[in-house]
Amino acid sequence: MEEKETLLDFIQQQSGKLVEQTITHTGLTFISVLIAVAIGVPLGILITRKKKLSSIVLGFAGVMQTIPSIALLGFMIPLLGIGAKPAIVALFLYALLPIIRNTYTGIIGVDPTVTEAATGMGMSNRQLLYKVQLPLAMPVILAGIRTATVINVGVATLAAYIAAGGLGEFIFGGIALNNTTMMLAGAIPAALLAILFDWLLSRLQHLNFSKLRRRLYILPLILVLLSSFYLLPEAYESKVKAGFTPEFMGRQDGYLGLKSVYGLNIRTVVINDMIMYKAIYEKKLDVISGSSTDGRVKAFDLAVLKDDKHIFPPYYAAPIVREATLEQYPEIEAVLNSLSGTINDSVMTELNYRVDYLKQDPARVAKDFLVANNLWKAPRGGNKGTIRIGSKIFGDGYILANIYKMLIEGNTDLSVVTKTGLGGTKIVFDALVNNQLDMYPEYTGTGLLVLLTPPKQLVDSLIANSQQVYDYVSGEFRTRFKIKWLKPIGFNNTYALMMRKEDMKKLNIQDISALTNYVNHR
Amino acid sequence: MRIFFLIPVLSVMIQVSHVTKFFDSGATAVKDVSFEVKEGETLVLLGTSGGGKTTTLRMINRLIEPDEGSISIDGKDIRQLQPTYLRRKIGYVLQNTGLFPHYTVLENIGVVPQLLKWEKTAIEKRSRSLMEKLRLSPAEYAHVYPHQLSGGQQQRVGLARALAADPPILLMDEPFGALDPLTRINVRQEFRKLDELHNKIVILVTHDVEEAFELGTRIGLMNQGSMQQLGTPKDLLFRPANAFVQQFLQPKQFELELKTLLVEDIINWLPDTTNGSPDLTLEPGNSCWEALAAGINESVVQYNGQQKLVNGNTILEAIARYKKAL
Repeated sequence: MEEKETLLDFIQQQSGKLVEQTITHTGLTFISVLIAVAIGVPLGILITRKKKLSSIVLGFAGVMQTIPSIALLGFMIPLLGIGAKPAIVALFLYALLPIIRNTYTGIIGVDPTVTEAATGMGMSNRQLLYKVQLPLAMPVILAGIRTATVINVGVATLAAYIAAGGLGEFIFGGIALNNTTMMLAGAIPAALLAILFDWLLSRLQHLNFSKLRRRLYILPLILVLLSSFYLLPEAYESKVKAGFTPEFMGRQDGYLGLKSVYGLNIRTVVINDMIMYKAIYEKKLDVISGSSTDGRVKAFDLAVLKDDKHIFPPYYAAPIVREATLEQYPEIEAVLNSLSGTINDSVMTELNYRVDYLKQDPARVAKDFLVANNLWKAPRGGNKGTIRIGSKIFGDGYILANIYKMLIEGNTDLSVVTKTGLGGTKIVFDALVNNQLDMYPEYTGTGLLVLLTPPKQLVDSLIANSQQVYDYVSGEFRTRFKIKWLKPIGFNNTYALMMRKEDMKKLNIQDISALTNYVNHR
Repeated sequence: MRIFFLIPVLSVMIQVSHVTKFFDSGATAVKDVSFEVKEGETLVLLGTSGGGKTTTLRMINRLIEPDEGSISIDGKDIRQLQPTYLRRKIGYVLQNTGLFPHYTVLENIGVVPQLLKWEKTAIEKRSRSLMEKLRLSPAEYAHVYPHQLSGGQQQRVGLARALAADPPILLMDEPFGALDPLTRINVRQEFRKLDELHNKIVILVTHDVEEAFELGTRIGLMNQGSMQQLGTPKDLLFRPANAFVQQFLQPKQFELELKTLLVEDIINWLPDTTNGSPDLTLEPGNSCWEALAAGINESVVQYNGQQKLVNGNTILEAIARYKKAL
């Protein structure tokens, strides 16, 4: 019962947003279906008359259908940017196949005796089409439109990834935040929309032939009306536009904190983190929520705004090592700590840039870094024992695991095996606790919020101070897991607001307070 | 020479001359076929399936274009006419009716007048009157859809649709083919009596020999694309042009002779009688078949002031003599 109540509560609290998202979702769905009908039906008719074209046209529409929806949305970014346009085009391409194919089969399926009779009575091609073929094919064409609509209600949830809005904002926010209530608040209306539209179109489809002929003209009107829904939320436009990930939107140490602590009131769109860097680079957005050491910060010439009121928790990276391993091979502690203080945010960004963006081998990047800092030594090839180093699936992890391997093999008689790309935090951490790894690089913020999950008051009291967070997690890990946090490496891979460097310079904005000031007093 | 298409005409004629049509495969569908049909005539194209009769028919309303030869109506080559214009002037009845399933009976019948932009009320009046002539109660069937009708009723609607705009020419492609034998005979008889057909050119395609002899003023027997014989029923029966014609009619020869020959044709070979008074009077137009049915028990027939003895024997004897005398 409690779950239900919270869902209702959530819906009540967010009713304004929910209505806006539902309207946007409906608009996105129908504007794309409308365009698909406007193009697909004539195309379907054309290929019944020029049969040679049919395999080409149906083949093209079929291929469109097989492209994964998120990939199709991704392809649209360079062409059309972000927002409604690429979403509508992608949805349109999805809707095309069922509409063309059903128009084609519907018309081909009309009894040839009937079309021959119509021709024999003296109907022109146009009269044959409008008086006989289309009315008789209409149930099949409507079935195609129905399929396309239901598909699009589903695919339109993905539009949230490219800042086109819709119910996907709640769904992906809910997934990212592991917030079932939020997810359901998006998923249930989306499912209901699909059922509702399917039902309405099925009513239309089963109308009596003769009545259908007259009511047919209503269909485009309905489509246009529903499509115009999309224009409502787009009616206002602001100069500064922020793109935040669904996760960031729903977090206290994210957008909620920006609003409550800084008082930042900015026009936001929800966007997928894979494409937001590109989007800000192409000036479709002005502010994004990113990860401070992401290589793309460098690649796209962005800069991080200073978090002058400390709402983002510290995510300082440090190696965490099993105490049993340190007892067995005490020499490694000093070796691992030798890295401390050498990598700051911009260095890490640079390293990530080379791996993520320039696609260089993490081992080569690691070696170059060590050589440049006079830390590199040739491996001794010792066989005293083996250290198992793990890492998570993203860039930081790969590079750090390689650096540690080289450090240990160069400075001790131990050998190293690395197990990189171990999925999420939980997987790597469990492997460490269960003695399948000896060490891996972890972030203080993750240790606090994901692995320890202390009560909220305690988190709030610690979060602003990075040293306090470090002290707390290293104490807790020692007593609870017998795992030691070594010295922080130096960089802080936390949430960050970022803007284009040129804008920051031009507008003289260096921190979030300045941005707030600029946005609120514009 | 444009009379047909400009004002109500007094006399219409279709001329098909040396028409040839090849299949896509290159085989010949119709080979050098020629004929003329005049107003008031019913030409039946008879033959086995694949004989080229339907192809010939469909060339007349340009559903198919001939590869060689020409077709003209009232001397005007039909290739010089808009196909839609031509077709609206020609009634067309299809074997499987081809009624529009999404139109009511009334709307189906009104298709061509509507294409010709008649007044709405005129269309409705005409459609209802045709329904009555074809014994389809308008009150009951006007707003019914084709699938709610029986096969015979559908065929009647198909005929009404073809006649709606009162075209001078009626093309019928196996119009009774899809009906059961009993219904077929009934619909055929109604068709013969239909005054709407007077003064029209009717070209009817069938593979049913009886139908051909019953309805045709002339019959064109086709096989493998060529015209084997074109003539009156009597011509085909008694003066077959070749072995194919003879063989084709052979199975029904006797019945066809009885139905085709009229009493007046054989009157001279029937024996006179003075016995008793005439039981019934035959008209000159009665067929031998009818005479036989009437005289199934030996009877005396009064015909044209003569008294003749009619029974099975005398009729058969007379027919045999008639054939000998040819």
